[in-house]
Amino acid sequence: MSWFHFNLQDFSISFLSILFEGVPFMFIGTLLSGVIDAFVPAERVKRLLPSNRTAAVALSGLLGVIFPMCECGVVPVIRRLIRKGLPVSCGLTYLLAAPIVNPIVALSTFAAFRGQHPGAMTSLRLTLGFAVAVVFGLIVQRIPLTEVLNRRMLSLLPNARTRRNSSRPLKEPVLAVAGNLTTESVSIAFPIVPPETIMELHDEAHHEKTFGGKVIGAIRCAAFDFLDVGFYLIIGAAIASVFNTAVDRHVLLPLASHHLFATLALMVLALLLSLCSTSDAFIAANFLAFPASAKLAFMVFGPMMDLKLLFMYGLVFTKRLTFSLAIALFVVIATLAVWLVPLLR
Amino acid sequence: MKILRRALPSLTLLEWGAILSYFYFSGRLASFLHPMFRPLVLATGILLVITAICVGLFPEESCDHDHEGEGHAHGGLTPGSILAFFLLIVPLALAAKVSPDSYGAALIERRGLVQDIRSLPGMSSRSVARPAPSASPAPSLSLPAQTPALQQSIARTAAAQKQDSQQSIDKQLEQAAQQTMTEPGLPTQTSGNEDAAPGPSPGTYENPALQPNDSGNIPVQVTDLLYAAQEPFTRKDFEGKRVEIIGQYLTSKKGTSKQELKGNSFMLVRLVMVCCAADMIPAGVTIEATKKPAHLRPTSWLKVVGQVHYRPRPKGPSPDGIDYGDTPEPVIEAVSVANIAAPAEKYVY
Repeated sequence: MSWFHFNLQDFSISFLSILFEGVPFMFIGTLLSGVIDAFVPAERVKRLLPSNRTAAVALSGLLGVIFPMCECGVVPVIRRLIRKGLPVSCGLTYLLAAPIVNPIVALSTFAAFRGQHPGAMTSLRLTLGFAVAVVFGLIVQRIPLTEVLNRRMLSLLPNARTRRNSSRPLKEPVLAVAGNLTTESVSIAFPIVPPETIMELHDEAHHEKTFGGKVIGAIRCAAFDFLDVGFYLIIGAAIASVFNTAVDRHVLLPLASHHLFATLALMVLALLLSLCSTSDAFIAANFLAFPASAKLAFMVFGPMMDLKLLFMYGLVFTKRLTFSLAIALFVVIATLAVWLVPLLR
Repeated sequence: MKILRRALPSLTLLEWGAILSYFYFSGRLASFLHPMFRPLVLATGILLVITAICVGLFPEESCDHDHEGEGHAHGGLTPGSILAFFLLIVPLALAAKVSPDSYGAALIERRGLVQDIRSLPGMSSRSVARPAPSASPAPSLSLPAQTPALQQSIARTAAAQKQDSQQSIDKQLEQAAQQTMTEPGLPTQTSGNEDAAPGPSPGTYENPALQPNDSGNIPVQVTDLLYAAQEPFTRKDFEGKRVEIIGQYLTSKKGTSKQELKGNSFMLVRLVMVCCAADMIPAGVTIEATKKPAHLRPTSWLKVVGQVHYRPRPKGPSPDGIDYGDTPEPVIEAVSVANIAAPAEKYVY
């Protein structure tokens, strides 16, 4: 195999550097998740969003401007917010949009693409990222909740057990379906991690807790979230490092001259490399031989779906939804990049 | 077993915190991460140790938990949770142990040596040879000699300030972008305006930051020479001048040119990092040497003193798919080549 050269030492450099870069951001996310768990009462979260569902989803797509997150940190936060009553459609939109529609990413994209139409590239990346995230949020809104959230998430929803059918200001249309939880309709996404890896805290218990108790609760929650998400970051970093060090990027070069294949090739690369959204623009800009639409697809698809996210999304969503999401995002973004973007020229 | 089950989360966090802190304090982190991200690793390392202590001191009995779901934490170790903790603990420790501080020569060669500044993300803003469109060069240019100081100052800045620095870089670049950076993939980009800037009288350094050191050589980086290659204006600062340059020894030129290296020629390579070592891109210049140190292994660190010449490249696109156009290739005719110890900062940022 002339295109595959595995070397443990090179692999370990790449593996460690991805972890060193990702772990701090993931830790910030889990700390935030712990704070939300301990200090933000359930039901408060959804009152912050407008009651019109479409407006709420659209607003969720823009929240990254105020709360910038990269994709490692956003998963634990979203998982916590959904448990606190954030509508899943809004959660998914924030999850997809926040790593793209935020000021840090806008600046790094602009800086990376100087000399290659930085303004157009940056605005297209943010616009496409926002549009795709909102569309997917609106689609997920129409899917039964039991097919969206994995079983553990469903059981942890604020009114999953007690007030399952009570009226909610922002009612998921099919929330009532959550009542008949069956093992066939929902599956634990990746059963390799047993549910006890995280220990959940009762929301009800928090009202009686002192501030100190809440802080300890937040730290414990952050710690177990960290272990939970860290597990998937490790797997993702390891797979990405194999591709990063053992597979020659030049194997893609013959595809560069073909518009469609070039775009698909860079999107697959984005999936495999699992780069952080704050820095992927610099890598994308480096593919000089590839057309601009391919680079755009790389930068919109990568932050929404890559190997480590594929694993991490499994902590929130059903396995089926995670894979459907991956395929749908791939097709939609490829289509937009290949056929829509050239029209705008 | 129950004690182990309770201690494992705490021990795992402790291990992660200890490894992050160790890499920061030992300086090994420099071989993995951009200076901007290093303080975050230290902060995370310390906070993880604190978290581990908290989790260890306040065992789960003191908290209220969700008890639903099959097999809760109190139920002991399951094969799944053992595997989860194994994966959380072992690969990190193993990688920390086996990881060297630099990639092997084979990987660097396979990734392909970049010999065009346009293929190096973010480089032009850092280059000492960055052009000054007006007569007054920007005062914030970084000198190779000052790089460690610059990096320390970057390292002190929190990630929140990343935005500001990028804004200032962007401002500087608006000027530079007008002059340079033609992109073959984008047909609308104008080209051929390289000569727009008025040249100074020959013999003076366009960039006052370029001053010979005590030995009469100008200290430069590989990336400076590559940057200057695309600019007739800046090239004058280097053409025929004696420079002092450090880098890693490589014999191959794969992926950049069909030309094979002849005689005692070799490539002097610096690894360029954008964020972390995973995105490493090697950049190199050709060294034409008459004599080399006897004991040279690929990726050995060298200090080369010699004269810079810009030579025309072969016409047509190179094997890496980039058309260099009229951009010449920097070559150093070496006067001396010496082994040196690996520097603390092995990457160019």
